[in-house]
Amino acid sequence: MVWDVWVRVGHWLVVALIGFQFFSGGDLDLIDWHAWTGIALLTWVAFRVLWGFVGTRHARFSDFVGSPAQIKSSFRKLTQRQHESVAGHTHAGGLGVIALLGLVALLAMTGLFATDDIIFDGPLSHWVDSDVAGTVTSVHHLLSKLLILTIVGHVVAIAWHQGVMKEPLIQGMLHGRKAGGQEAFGQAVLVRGLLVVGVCALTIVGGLLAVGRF
Amino acid sequence: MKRVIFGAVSVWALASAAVAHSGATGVVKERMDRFEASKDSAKVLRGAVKSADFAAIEAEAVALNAWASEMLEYFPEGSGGSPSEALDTVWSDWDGFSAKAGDYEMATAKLVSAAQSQDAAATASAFKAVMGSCKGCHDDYKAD
Repeated sequence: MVWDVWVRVGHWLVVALIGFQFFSGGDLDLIDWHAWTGIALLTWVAFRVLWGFVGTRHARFSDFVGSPAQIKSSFRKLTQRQHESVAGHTHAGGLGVIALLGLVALLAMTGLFATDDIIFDGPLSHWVDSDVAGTVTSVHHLLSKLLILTIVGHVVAIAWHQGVMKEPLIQGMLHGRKAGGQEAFGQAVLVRGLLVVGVCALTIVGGLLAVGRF
Repeated sequence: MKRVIFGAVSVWALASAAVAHSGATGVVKERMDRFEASKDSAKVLRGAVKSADFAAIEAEAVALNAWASEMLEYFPEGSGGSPSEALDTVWSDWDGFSAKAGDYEMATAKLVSAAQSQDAAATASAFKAVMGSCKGCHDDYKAD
């Protein structure tokens, strides 16, 4: 195994949640759901960041975050259709992970302070002036466009790996197995992940319920 | 990393607070306050529509209707530009903007009469129409 269950379920859950976010953001009837889905995504980002330190081998940042030179060389190999013999993310892919995580985190955080100037105020928008909330909202919208671009880049890269370079990455993200992944994950991974998810959810959802206005 | 990002966002938010709309004065400030009050009304309305509190719906709808009928007076020529979020299209397409203000006035009037008739379904759809008229105008005449 290369991808543990938390990485896989997390990935596809986030696909669904972000898909929902793109059409619920501008909908007055769905805006409360949009806010809660954003909080769920923030919880997931927090989990994924912690999992990047205490998770399984290929889930860790140390496994895939590369230096600028490594990232450059990884992109070069990608364009030249050279397979990289790594079980986890390549350094180019690692950059994608960081970009996607960072954008989702920033989107979720700005959303907490955002307002639609009609009926919706983010749960923490009372902490800032209404004009600041307006500025944060503009940034929120800008970030959403950046996220779309980054997702398109991610999907194109995966399509390249999958279609042109014949690497079964999509299957890998479904069943978790990839060439070179010899490890087997036991119950401990399940329990540890559950613990980290619990801590993140308690802190973020609990904290927001305590200080936020819904 | 999250803490760093959060810190950066907070600092940037505070910094922009110093230069943003806080500087609004005169008619720009007045209309901003009226729009802000309208948002509060919208929130009260949402709750009141859910609980079919027709007295509360009527009161807020009357307030919105009054604002809708006066709104254009709060957009004199030359009152655009920062810190206002009104787009130049308000004045370059004054007819279109006035028509939207008219739609808003009609939508709020319908909400008033729906509340008076105590018809829950009509009230709910009239409230939706009011919210839609806010959004419809923001899309064309307010900076994103």
